Amino acid sequence: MGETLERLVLNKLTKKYKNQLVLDSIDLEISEPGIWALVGPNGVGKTTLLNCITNLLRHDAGSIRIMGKSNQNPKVFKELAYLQDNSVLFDYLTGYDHLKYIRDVHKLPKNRIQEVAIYVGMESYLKKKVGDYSLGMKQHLLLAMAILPQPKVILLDEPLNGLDPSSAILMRKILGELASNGATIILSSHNLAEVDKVTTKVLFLKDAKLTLVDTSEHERIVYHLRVANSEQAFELIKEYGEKTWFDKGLIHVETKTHHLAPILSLLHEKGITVLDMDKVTSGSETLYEEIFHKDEIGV
Amino acid sequence: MSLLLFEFKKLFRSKLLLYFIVFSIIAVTLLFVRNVWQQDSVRAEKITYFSKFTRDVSMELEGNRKVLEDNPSPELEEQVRIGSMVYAQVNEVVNAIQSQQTLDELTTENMLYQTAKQYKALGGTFYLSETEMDRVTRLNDELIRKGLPKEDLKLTIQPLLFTQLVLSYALTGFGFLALLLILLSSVTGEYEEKNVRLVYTLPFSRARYMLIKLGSFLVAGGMWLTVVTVSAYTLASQFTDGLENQSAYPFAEVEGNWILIADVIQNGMALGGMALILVLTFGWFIGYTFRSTLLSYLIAILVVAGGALLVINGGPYQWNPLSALQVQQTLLDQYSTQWRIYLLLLFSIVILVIGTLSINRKRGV
Repeated sequence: MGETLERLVLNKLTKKYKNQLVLDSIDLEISEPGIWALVGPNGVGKTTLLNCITNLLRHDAGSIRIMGKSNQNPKVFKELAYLQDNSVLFDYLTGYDHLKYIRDVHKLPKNRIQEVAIYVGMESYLKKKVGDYSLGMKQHLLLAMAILPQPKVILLDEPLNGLDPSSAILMRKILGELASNGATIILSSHNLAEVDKVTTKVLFLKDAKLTLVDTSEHERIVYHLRVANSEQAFELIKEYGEKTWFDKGLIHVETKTHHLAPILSLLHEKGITVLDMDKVTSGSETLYEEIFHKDEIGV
Repeated sequence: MSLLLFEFKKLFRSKLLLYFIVFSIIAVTLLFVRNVWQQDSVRAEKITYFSKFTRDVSMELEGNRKVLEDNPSPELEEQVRIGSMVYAQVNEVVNAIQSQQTLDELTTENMLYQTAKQYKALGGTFYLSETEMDRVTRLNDELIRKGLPKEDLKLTIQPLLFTQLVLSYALTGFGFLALLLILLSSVTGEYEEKNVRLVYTLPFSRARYMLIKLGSFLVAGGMWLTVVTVSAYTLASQFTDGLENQSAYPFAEVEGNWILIADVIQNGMALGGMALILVLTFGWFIGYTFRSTLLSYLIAILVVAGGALLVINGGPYQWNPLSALQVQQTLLDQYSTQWRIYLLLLFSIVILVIGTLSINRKRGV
């Protein structure tokens, strides 16, 4: 096996609910640190896949190995953490109680709780009962519990749910740091804008099949221009973008490049004033639309 | 150990166990207060009880004396003479009760029964059977020998006897059932509220978690039993004058031998403790097997309360593990706790092994 031990290997993983096939002979091998996003519409089976990986759900066929061990071996959880939804928390216990439990199970040093609490920004409410926590505070606690033992593989089920913008920024920052410190992170999400901010490696789950895509190869930039003479301007620049269209008084230019300089120079030469300009970058969203079609987007 | 403490903390923080323990202490206190209030009426009832004999004997004596006036008879004269002694001795007993001279009360009561037996032999009426008088005499002799007062076992405030009284209420199928239902919900609730998924994603086996859970049940059960026992004894000790020889109180007579109160409590705790282990192991097993509070409650009530009712109403007894749920009844009826303890242990181990093996075969939640 050597140095490059596979962190997560799914081999022909199959899961059915009665007659409905949710995971169809899925193969996946992840051996390096980084962040992978698991994307798909609601009810497609993202949580089912994560639950199968962590043995919370029995799969019907295939095998799952984490850090070289079967997922049915509880020792895998020495190096695997799973951030689930907040129903796993005990409302009548404090955040500290939860973290202490994880610390004791993993036999971690005493100061580890304080370190992590400061890191995720929850030291002020650590000793409060979880029943009094807001949704965002619960997400912070779940994250703290997941990262407390410094696992090599971290699975996160909708970690950005219920987070306010500053918490979401903090969460993204932490995930980025964990990945750069050597952790392999798989997070499920249906917030595609957030996905684009944390990774370009996306696992699309559709029709019980998993497809790994590097969204950086599919990144699209759409510029929205409001100009003084829009019809004339549209005729001038329609050849520049891969796709250019005129809609509701705006010219939309879709391109792979980040540079709009040739277009702006041309408009300037022709004396057309650019009144307003906006840029939208889309990676996974474009792909998502291609894969799932617009009418399936239930986000 | 820290994991066991965490489980125990969960039980306590969920409040139900705490409330149950507090409720048990309040119930013990109320029982003691009732018994304290009833002490005067205990004496009054004793006096009423003996006064009844005074009335009966006096009426019979009056009638016999009238008969003697018309028809002298040496036999009837002797009966009247002994009857007069009975009358006088009943009054002495009543006086002793009133003056709270407990040893005098027992001595004169025994003398009364000796005379009453003679009186009955001469054709007099005394509304106690010879067997009953002999039983009370033996008890009184035992108490006199040990220098102990006679207690009403249901209304006692004497520390050890009161402790036994409390245990006789606690160590029953219904006492165990109340504790079981509280603890059972901590297993099924984790499945219903999905908290168990947190534990199942930690690096220890599910069987180990189950065993830790069972350990927390047993600690909670032991704690409840200890709190109940200690609160009963402490309360009674604080408010009554302790007797040096109280542990030797002859609690009951079985096959000519006196069972002392200390032995009753000791054996009751041993048998009750083991019965508690069996009940909690059983509850733990059905909780993990059915994972539904409602279903588990129904099964627990059916088996534990049903078993207790069966024993109370004279159902199968000897090899029935549920008979031990009525600990006091079992102790007095059988007074051979050793084999019962082993039987309960055996049943608990069988349930434990089946439960542990079955959880190891399961995947998913």
